[in-house]
Amino acid sequence: MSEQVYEAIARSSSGFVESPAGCGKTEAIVRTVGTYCSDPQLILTHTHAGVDALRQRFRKYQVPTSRYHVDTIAGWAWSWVRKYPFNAGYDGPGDVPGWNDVYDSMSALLERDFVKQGILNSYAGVIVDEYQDCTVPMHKLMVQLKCLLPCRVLGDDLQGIFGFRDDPLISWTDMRGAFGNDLGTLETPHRWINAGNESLGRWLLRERTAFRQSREPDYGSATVHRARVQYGNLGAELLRLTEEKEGRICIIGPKARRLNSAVETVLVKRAYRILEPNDLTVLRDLIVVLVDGTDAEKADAAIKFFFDSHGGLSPDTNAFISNILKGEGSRPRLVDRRALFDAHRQGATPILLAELLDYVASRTAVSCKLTESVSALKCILEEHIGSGANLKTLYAEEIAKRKYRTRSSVFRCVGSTLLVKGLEFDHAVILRDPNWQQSWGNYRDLYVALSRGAKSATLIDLAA
Amino acid sequence: MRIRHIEIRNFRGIKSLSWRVKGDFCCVIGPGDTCKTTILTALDYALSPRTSLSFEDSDFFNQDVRQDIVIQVTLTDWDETQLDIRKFFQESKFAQYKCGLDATGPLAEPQEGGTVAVSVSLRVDGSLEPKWFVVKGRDEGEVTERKPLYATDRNALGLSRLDTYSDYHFTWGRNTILTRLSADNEGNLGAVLSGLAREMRQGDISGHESITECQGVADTVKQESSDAGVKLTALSPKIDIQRQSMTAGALSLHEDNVPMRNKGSGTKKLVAAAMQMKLHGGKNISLIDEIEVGLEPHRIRGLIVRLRNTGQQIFTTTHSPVVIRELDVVKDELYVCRRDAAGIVSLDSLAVVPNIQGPVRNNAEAFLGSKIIACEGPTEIGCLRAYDRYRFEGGSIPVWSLATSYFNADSGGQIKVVCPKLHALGYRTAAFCDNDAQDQISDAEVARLRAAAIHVCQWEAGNSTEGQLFHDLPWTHIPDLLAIIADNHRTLDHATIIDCVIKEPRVITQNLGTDPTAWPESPLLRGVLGELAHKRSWIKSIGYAATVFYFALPLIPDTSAIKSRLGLLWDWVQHE
Repeated sequence: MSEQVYEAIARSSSGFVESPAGCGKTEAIVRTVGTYCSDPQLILTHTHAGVDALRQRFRKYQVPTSRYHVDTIAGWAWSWVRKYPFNAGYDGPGDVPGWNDVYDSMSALLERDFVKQGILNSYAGVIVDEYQDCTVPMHKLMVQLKCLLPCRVLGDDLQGIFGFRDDPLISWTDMRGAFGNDLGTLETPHRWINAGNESLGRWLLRERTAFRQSREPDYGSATVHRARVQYGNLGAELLRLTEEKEGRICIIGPKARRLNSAVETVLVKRAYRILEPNDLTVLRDLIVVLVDGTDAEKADAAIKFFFDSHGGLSPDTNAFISNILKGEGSRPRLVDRRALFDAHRQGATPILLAELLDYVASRTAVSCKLTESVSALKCILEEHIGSGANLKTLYAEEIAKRKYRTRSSVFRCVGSTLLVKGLEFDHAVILRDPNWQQSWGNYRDLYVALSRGAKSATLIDLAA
Repeated sequence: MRIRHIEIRNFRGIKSLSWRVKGDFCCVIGPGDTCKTTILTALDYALSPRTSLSFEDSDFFNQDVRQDIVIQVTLTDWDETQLDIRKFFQESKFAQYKCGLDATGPLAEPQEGGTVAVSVSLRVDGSLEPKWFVVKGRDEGEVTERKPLYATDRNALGLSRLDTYSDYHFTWGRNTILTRLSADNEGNLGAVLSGLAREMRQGDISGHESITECQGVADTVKQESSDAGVKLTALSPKIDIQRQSMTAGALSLHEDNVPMRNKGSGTKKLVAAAMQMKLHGGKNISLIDEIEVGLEPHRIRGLIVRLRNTGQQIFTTTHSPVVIRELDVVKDELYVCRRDAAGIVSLDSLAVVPNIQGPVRNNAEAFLGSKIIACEGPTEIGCLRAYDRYRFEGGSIPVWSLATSYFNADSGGQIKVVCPKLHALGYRTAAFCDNDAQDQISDAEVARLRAAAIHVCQWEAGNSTEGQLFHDLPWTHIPDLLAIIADNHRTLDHATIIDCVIKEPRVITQNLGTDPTAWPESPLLRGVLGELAHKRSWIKSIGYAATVFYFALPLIPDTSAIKSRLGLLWDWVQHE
């Protein structure tokens, strides 16, 4: 059955494959290219994690690199737009691109013969992964690319989730309209079969209609564990629930905000990593103010960064950090604080931030919650102090450097559906509160969350 | 591909050069030491797929290694259906490095509706290490978007040099034309040859599969050469036992048992050109320094016609009027190269001057120097040749060593038209004309030429060249002059000359008699002689005039118009 789908993808000049979670989408792409396509294919996806997963699978099957090029839609479009901003009509920034402009600009570039020719020279076809994550400008770009090359897309409307501030995604009806041919559906739940929990996989496939119609699925026959937990007990309960479980665990919390700080601190101390979005939003907010803000704004932003990124700060430490960043307060008694105080009376300077990071790291009671942002900030400050380079530029370079550091190896983590989608775990623990549809997500998010754990899925409903 | 712009900085004698190339057959002419060959070498270095290139301090302009050598060549018009071009312009290679081109040179991006180009830059800094890049826009160093370009990639550009270095192309060596034609063979030849090296005998190698393929190529070359007018008996790849190393270069093209490299230089050039025409379906670029070397005029013509018809772009230099006559100036086939004292080199298509084709065909030699003396006709040219010889014998430097050529304008009326054109092409120009026809060239027109920095040598009012000669020569030598005229002239005899003088209506009453030594001197008779000589074409050929003036010049007084005015012209030739 699957082989027929692979062959259909290879042969078709346009079409889509319905690919529910865990049913072998990556496999389908790699096998199609490796077995049924003789000429090079452009494989586009959305996240660097996705790129990484595809590349690893291609390597595993020893498909010659001349036969495929894997990139994110954003990365591929930007590679052209940054080379031809004038032809693309792109007047956004050259270092940190405005992505929607980039897709529109790439659409403009596809009108140019020399660009078309370059793409035709390079590829015989395009395969787009995770099509449900396409925004309207991305979809427009892909439809245009379809005029140039055979364009086949794989995706799952149920995994089409987006953040509260994000652009709306393409509707599945529009996708079907644009790509016409239904090339088949992938419907073997490999992920759960391989983990010895086929029943969960089958249940997820069976209940897709319920998720799609935004109603609570029938947990009757499910192997989903359910629990009700009081907010106050959450930290302790989570530890208890996950203590017994072996393997990789993700705890999926709300999208709109982070978990309660105390709960995060408890988890971080148990070696959980708090996932951050690719642009390290917390760090970005700090950098922007450090470059453009007033002294007072800089101090406030730095204080906020320290409180967001570190858990277990004592009130005393909090006060010291606030004071020294604002350039206020009296000379501290403790020797190490006094040294910092004596050396730094100009408020939130880069040198002070760097030294404060070291100071905070030296406090054993303090745990670092946002390890990515903190390590990136250290690198940026070090480079800035050494070379005097612009902080925003260094930030952009640092983000670019990190983009291929995959999260797929993360062992225990906490994040929202947006941050864990595309990742696979042994156990998924989902936290939702009574108002979950306002703060947490919708039934598609629930489907994504429940399909993250191959061995088990635990749904915790929180009560006040 | 087609080269459409060349910029060279700090390379050998060239401080800077920016050349917007228009034609597909580009022949560069110009005086010696204007860096014509350096331009071809620069193109060869920048575009050919050679892997090793060693630079020395002396390759830098003024040996100043602080200023990078930059050779940037911008190309257009590739055939994107060709496989190697498609590979060259893949995303993983240079698809995102196509650039634009306008009259000023390469641009970072193509303009809407404008030319799409690709620009290759060879850069050498004080480390003497050459680096090739594809660059977007003028190569300003690190700030210009660039991507390294390796020798194998440069293969796709399709440039070969077919002159002094063409021996190598008769081998299946690295990146030679034969190797490129045998592209399917890649990798096999080396192994076959190292095996053969052990046997090292002239055994029968024709059975090897790779060699069979080389034979196929050799057959094609034979056919192409035959079309080019070179008849060869049988071409085959054979082990070249004189070569030391047994790399692929040891396999070379032989005619019977004679290696092609031992053939005459003209034949080698024609065969190499024939091979190059097969590469990339002919859509490629050839460099030929001194295209005429080793070729008879008919072979030159044949080669030029064939090169033009194959669709390749040619860059060549020449010192041969035969080549110049074959070229279509209007199609930008002829460029004049100039180099100023600061090393700024410029190239101008002769097409910038309207209606220059005729003068170029008729006076091809004139364009090979740096100074041109435009003469009214063959008599004047003959006069100058004689004067040159006369001065040379008196110890002066001859004009030919001063890169001065004569240009036959064919009439006084043409002189005033042609001289400004030659001047516009950068030639230092002088006009040499008689002074007997105001309707042909008036005093006002002469003044205009002089105002335009053109030196004008003109006889005294009313005098043709013959008139001035009979005016200035001491009377006692006139009979000898008439005898010499008659001796040299093919159709005119002495009696006819005498007869037409004594019967001339203005002097008939003088009953001059047939012995010119007895003729009495008079301005009238001098005038009549001059006029007859002019009207009856007594010395109207370069040869007649040269002989006559060579006889007369030592006898003419230094204060005469002929000698003083020619003297001024010579000052211009020698000193300006």
